[in-house]
Amino acid sequence: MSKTISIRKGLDIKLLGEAEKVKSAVDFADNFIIKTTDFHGLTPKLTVKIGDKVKAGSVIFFDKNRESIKFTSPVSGEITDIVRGEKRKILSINIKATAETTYEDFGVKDPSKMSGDEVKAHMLGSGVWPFVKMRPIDIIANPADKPKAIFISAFDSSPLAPDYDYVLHGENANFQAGITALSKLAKVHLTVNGSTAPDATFANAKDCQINKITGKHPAGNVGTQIHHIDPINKGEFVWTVNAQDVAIIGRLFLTGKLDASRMIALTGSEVKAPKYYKMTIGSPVKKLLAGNINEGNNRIISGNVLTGDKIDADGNIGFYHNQVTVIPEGSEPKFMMTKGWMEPGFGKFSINRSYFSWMMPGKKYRMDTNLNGEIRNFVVTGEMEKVFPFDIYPMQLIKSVMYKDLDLMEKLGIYEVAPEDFALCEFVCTSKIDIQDVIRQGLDDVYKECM
Amino acid sequence: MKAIEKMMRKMEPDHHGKWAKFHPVWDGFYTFLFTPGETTKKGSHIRDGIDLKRTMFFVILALVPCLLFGIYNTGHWHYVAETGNMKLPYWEMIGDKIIYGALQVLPIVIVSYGVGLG
Repeated sequence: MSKTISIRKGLDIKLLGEAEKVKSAVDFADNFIIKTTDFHGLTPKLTVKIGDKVKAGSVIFFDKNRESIKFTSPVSGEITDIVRGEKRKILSINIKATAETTYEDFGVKDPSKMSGDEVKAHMLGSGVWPFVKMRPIDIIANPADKPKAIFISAFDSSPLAPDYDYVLHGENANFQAGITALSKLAKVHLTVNGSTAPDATFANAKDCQINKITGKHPAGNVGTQIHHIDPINKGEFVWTVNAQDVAIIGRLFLTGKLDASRMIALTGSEVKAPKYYKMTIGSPVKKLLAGNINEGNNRIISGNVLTGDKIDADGNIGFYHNQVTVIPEGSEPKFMMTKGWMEPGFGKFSINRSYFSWMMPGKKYRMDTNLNGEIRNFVVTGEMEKVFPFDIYPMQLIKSVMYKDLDLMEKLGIYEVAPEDFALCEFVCTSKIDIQDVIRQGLDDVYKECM
Repeated sequence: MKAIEKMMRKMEPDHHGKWAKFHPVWDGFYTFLFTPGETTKKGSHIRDGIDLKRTMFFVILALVPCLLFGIYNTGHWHYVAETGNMKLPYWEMIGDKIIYGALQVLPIVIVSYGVGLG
């Protein structure tokens, strides 16, 4: 039964540098990197060594704790480096790609004629299983679990996020094949943006329940949708897959090849010409940014400004990311009367009414990475609740995680949340506390002790 | 502003020097004048413009009219009681009322802030 949800809490952060709806090409670059740190809680075990030749889809490592979960190369080429950190922990695998990609042949399969176990085995062996994440805990899904549903969000409401209606336009066949495959594992909920007419790719999707959601960010977050459509109780699991990754899964079934390419949005106020680019998972960003960003001290983020990871100018796109954002660093001290805490505040964005941004709702801002304060204890109450559309007490949950009260964490709803759900709470927090990190710690504690 | 910042940095006590124990005093004054150029390290890369300093500044700003009214009102009712004149106009004897009110209210404010900060 299709559901229509309207959320009233949330916050749309309007930033400069939205990507123009133009698909552009980027010069070929050959140094691809798969970072094992993109997969939280993973202990990787290598199946390759430096110098090995791989194809797109060849296994390069697997999860030591769940050996059926394989991670495959997104490109064909040669393993050039295996970067290790403390205690020889594997941090990344570097691949020098060939100009022409050769693929492992997994065989063309029709997911509508396959059983759930067959679909699962195919996904595990070809390296697309890491696209499937689980709630609670927000890590790669355990194939042995029986989820009550799989949730896919058809749009992303994060600041400067790519428009999936544009990105997946024309990908009907691939997307549908992915949905059909996932529907063999559990009931699929596809949630579209209720404020606009979704693309035919989503509107005509079958083998799934199409729901609608309207409201400000985080309406596009899958966690918000799960909470309002089918909340998770203790002992239950749901799985989530990103919309572009559903198309990659579908492509695998229809062509027999792992084509790990996505449309990546290059965004941010420091980008001269923000556009969409077709790139493969793990691509380097150097050529993407060359000559296209303003001079000065910039922060390059793989992902969006709320949940993304900082990378260097010669870094690579993260496994789960669909955009690259470039914003100015804010590392200059600010005099109190002109740009500090006593300034009139006409150019600053804030949810607080001591600034004037509330009078200009349509204005877009050039925000930098300045902390705009210092870390303090919690003082102000009520600000997180304005941007947190869950039936959960956010500050109380964060505090229970900080003092590691597992019983209270369970009662307050730790099983329903992921760090990204608290990104807006972290943004608005007057005390500048690293809330997403706290929640991540809490989820790890719960996973270790209670699951 | 860069000149003020340079001057403050010149005055910063060395952590291992003779005036090291006055570093918190310097730090309090420096952070009063400047929001540090500290950037986000974890989590969200951008943060709201509001911080506790500004919040508390607006708290004080909002309380000032209440304080002024409280001072004057205390003085007014004192003189109503002293003169026995229930119909003493509110805006007569302004100076006396302010002085009396301030002498009554300000010590309470000072003691409560002193205890709170201590």
